[in-house]
Amino acid sequence: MTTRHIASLAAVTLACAAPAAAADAEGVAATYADIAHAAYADSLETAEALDAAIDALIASPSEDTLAAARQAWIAARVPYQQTEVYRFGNPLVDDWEGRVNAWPLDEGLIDYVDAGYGVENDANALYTLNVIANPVISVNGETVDAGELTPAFLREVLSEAGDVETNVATGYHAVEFLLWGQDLNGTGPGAGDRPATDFDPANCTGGNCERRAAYLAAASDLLIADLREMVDAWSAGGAARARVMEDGGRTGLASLLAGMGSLSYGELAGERMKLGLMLHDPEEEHDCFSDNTHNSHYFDVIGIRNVYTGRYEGPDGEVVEGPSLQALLAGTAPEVERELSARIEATVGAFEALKQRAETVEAYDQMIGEGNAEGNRVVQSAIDALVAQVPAIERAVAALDLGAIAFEGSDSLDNPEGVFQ
Amino acid sequence: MRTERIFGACLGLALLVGSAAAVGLRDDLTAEDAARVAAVTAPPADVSRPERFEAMPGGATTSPLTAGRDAFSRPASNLSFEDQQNFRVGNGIFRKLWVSAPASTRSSDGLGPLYNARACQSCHVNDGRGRAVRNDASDTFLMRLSVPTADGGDGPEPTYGGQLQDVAVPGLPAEGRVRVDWTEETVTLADGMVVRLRRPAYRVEDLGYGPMHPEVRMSPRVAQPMIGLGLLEAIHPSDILANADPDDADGNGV
Repeated sequence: MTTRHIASLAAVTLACAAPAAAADAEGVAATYADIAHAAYADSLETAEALDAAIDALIASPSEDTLAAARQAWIAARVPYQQTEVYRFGNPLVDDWEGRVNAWPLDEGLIDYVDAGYGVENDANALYTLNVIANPVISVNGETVDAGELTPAFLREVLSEAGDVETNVATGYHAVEFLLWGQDLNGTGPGAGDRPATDFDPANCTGGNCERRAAYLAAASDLLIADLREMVDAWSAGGAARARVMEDGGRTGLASLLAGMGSLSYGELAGERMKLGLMLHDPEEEHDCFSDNTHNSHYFDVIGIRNVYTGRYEGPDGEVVEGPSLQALLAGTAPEVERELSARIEATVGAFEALKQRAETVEAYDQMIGEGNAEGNRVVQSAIDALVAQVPAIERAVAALDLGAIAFEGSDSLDNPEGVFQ
Repeated sequence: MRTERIFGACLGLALLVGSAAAVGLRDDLTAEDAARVAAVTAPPADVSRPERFEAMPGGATTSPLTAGRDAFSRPASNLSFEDQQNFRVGNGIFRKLWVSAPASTRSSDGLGPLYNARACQSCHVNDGRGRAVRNDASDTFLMRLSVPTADGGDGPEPTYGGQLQDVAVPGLPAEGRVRVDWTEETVTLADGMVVRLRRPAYRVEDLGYGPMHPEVRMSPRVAQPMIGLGLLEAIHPSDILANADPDDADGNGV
């Protein structure tokens, strides 16, 4: 279903973009929207597969069903991370994103944690709330019934409870914590190691196995509902698609470049990588329970390349492609195109090296460990490559004369949404 | 003192609005730009419809995102990519939970031995204001301490310093716990309306390091919101100096 739908959208795009390879703003924006739709649709499909694997785990808890659920989670991250480039530059996505990918999270809110996690009564009074073990909880001095761990309870009561940002109750990382448990290996080898019996009421470990299963099922259902919302937003007639097609597609072009630049420099190179490397802290790892961080980072970078080259390949090999920013630049500012293309390829190369090291030598949290010169160097090279592609992105913004759109909005005279410069 | 200075700077900005004379002092603007600034910041002639720029009160810094509970956590919209990185790394540091030594990493430890919170964000809730003290919940609040000095000024409490630290690493006593007792009072407003207000009385219990100086003074402080600091920093010094009025010549009390 989903696949056919994508194919038809792509066909429409190509038809509109005639003749042949001529890339204009409208065609590029349409490709950008088509890739968003395809990647969110694949995220939804893989999340549904994850949900089925979680149902199987709950119905019949064993090391096999747990391993299958973990594998499904890792597979679900592949298309989702490729959508992260849409977060910046698209307010609708940025507003929504916290529900599905908020990080870091204070896992003690959700379930039991190791004693080393601490029980200090700091400003996050819910730091060790452990809602799975407590059917009645206290939030901001008020007693709250947590008897039923429903999707609505997770969303409306537990998420950012007490107004604390790290009280993350939903999304990929909450599911990740429930499938893996805490990674207690620091910068040593090994990921989280939760036993399957944590979900087995008949041989329960960790206590409250029914409630743990109920929480996991609810979080998984929410993830699906949230992803469906984003698929709709990028479908024909959806709000996110409509927005990027505004102004003859130039709004979409500006969003595309803003997304590439912001994800490269601030979010990925900065908050997710540079900070962890500076602190040599294994907690500063994006997928810290599963040790899947290398893939998360790698597919972020692939997502950046996708929107640039106007080509996305789904997990099933399905390809969506159309007029690209790369082609548009090649026509209008060939030297900028050459530089940006080379920078992006160099970045993909640096992240391939990082991914390969994670798969063959040591996990990402070990790479950022103190005194690990070679591991640190591989991460630093990846950061440097990301940072180095940003000036080229800025040159592309200038070459396409998009600065005004990116930063000022419309400038008609009586426009209350205008901005004084 | 610091609070008053910031307030003064805010006021400087407010007074600047509509003041072409002040703009004229700006050495970083051309005459043409100064005239544009003066025109844009002039009071509205017609309040029956939205003015130009009105929906973007922060100018190009205004966030396009929905104003939800994360509204104070966002960078200005027009930051360069490089400044976005500074913002994001700073944001990560701001919400980082520090730990006491020894820990798995030397760079994240060093907390304590006495402290108020493990992260900046713990008190500046979602980059916003903290809450007033309550006896049944953890605090986003601290207590300043001082004692009178011989020269008529004030100095730190001799044992506890300038700030009560109500948490300590394992094995050490905290300095104490702040408690509050509320007394409800009836107040009659000017128009005769009667309202009930609560008056707090603070005390410190469980002192960990002996009695306090008999003349100790306490000043409760709720954590300040973090928004707008960049905007304050962006105010040109001459716009502040243009409003200097050391002798209060205009008689407005400032």
